Amino acid sequence: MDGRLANTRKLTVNEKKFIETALASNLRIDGRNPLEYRKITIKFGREDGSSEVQLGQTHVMGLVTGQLVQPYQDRQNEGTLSIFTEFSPMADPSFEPGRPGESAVELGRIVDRGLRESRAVDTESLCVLAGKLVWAIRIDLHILDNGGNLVDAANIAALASLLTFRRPECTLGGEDGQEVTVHPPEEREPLPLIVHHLPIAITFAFFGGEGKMVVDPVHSEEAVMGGRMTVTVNANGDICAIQKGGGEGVPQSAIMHCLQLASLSAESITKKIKNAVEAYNTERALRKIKRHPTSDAGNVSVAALDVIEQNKNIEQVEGSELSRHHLERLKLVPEDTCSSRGNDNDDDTKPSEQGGTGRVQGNAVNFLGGPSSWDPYSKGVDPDSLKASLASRGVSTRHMKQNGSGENSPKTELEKPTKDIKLAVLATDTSGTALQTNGEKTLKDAVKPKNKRRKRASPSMKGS
Amino acid sequence: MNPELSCTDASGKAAEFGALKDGYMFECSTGLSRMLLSSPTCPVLEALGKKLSFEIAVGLNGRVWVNSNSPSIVIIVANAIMNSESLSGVQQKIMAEKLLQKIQND
Repeated sequence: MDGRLANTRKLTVNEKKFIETALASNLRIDGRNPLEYRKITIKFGREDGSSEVQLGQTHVMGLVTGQLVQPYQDRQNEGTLSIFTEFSPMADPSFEPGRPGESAVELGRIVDRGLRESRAVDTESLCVLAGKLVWAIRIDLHILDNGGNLVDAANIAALASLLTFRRPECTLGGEDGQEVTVHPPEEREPLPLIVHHLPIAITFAFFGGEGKMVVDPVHSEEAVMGGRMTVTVNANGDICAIQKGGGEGVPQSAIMHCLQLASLSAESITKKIKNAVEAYNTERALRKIKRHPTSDAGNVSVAALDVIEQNKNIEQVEGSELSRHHLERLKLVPEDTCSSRGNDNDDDTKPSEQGGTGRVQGNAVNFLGGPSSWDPYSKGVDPDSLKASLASRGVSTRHMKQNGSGENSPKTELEKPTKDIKLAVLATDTSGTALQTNGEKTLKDAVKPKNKRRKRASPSMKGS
Repeated sequence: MNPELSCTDASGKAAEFGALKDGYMFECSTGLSRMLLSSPTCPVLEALGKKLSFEIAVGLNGRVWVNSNSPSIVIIVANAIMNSESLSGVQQKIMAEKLLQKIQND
């Protein structure tokens, strides 16, 4: 504990005085209004149920995991929800490893109360076998950087993780229906949790005794504030929890005012979380399609992509633009699409290739996670070949895509880049990573391209 | 212990500077403070100085003190300096001008 006290941020008189003077004219040191929230960024990791939230400088990571356990004695048919917080010493000099400090425990308690008391997560659906087996959901919150207002950021991270978490499906079997089979994700699609509503925590900081109040305090404001209050509301306007721990007193009128402000902010934050989760789910569905190892999947993925193209053209174009422009980051496409989708709107430069890019997205998606059936002429090598060809002659790839969009079979696409594939294969020895299915590959295809290659390569070069 | 901010010349005498009252002191990296002290004037300070009037004292230890008549100007200057940590000269000028424009439009 001494280490924590010794390392807490030393507050200079000068800073305190300035923050209070600025607040007197309704200004905050980072230029915000007193009632303005910082920018929230929500990203997701590769695993279902892992999220990363940035609230200005504050950085929190959330992870949800599930385990089958015996239920509590007094709640035989309900699952359990538990929250663990980890205040990493890299977040703040005053955070020490080991036993959680006061603020860590308080943060965990606020997030826990918001979710549990308001019954946001449906625990009855987590029951597998009444009285014997239930799902225990564990939320781990890691504080990576303390830029002020950890509670709100941690709450958002917990909610984002809960919404994207998938638990394996369980079925009961056996003669007496007592045998539980847990299906792995490859066998049966894992299920999301049932979350009824999203309780959002909004923190208010009070200063100076004249009732000056700000929303979402920054680290330095937290050091200066006289008191704080955290209100957990959901978008429907239901108050899930209120936490006011110590510090200066607040009149009742101020509390009512805070509650009203909180429900307004909660609406916009809920929308942000839902948008981010939706983008992640779309991207996840796209990724899932190429999971099937059979040869039919080649056509299935193409057909499915065409369908998806029609339904979600915007997403497809965005995603494929991403894959075109950021080939080096192909492996990170799943994570990056969520956060950078909006950014990439600026990068749209080639609308003429919408048809072709759909195919490329398919390639990129296939490349990312297909089963390991190594085939030098498989679609999966395209990204590598594209990379190589982009480096040598960017033109040919564009033409390849344009040609590829006309046809429905994967064969013709391969004919283009086979030369590049060969180069890529020889040079980089991409065994195993690339992959997948094409189904319509025959020896003839293997031979044909060599001849066609020379003919086609030149026109495409000339065509540029 | 209550430290007092004071600005002295090389021999330790006040020599027109003296104690720094009010204003806002913040920290930045030592590299940035050297750039702020360089001559010719660093682009961000130049761009800010053209439109705003403020006092600034920069220490080689990374502490910067800014003062002005209104707290809003102090906040603008402080944020502009903190943002120019990783920007090149041209970028700093653009960033400062954008910030000033935004303020004027409000």
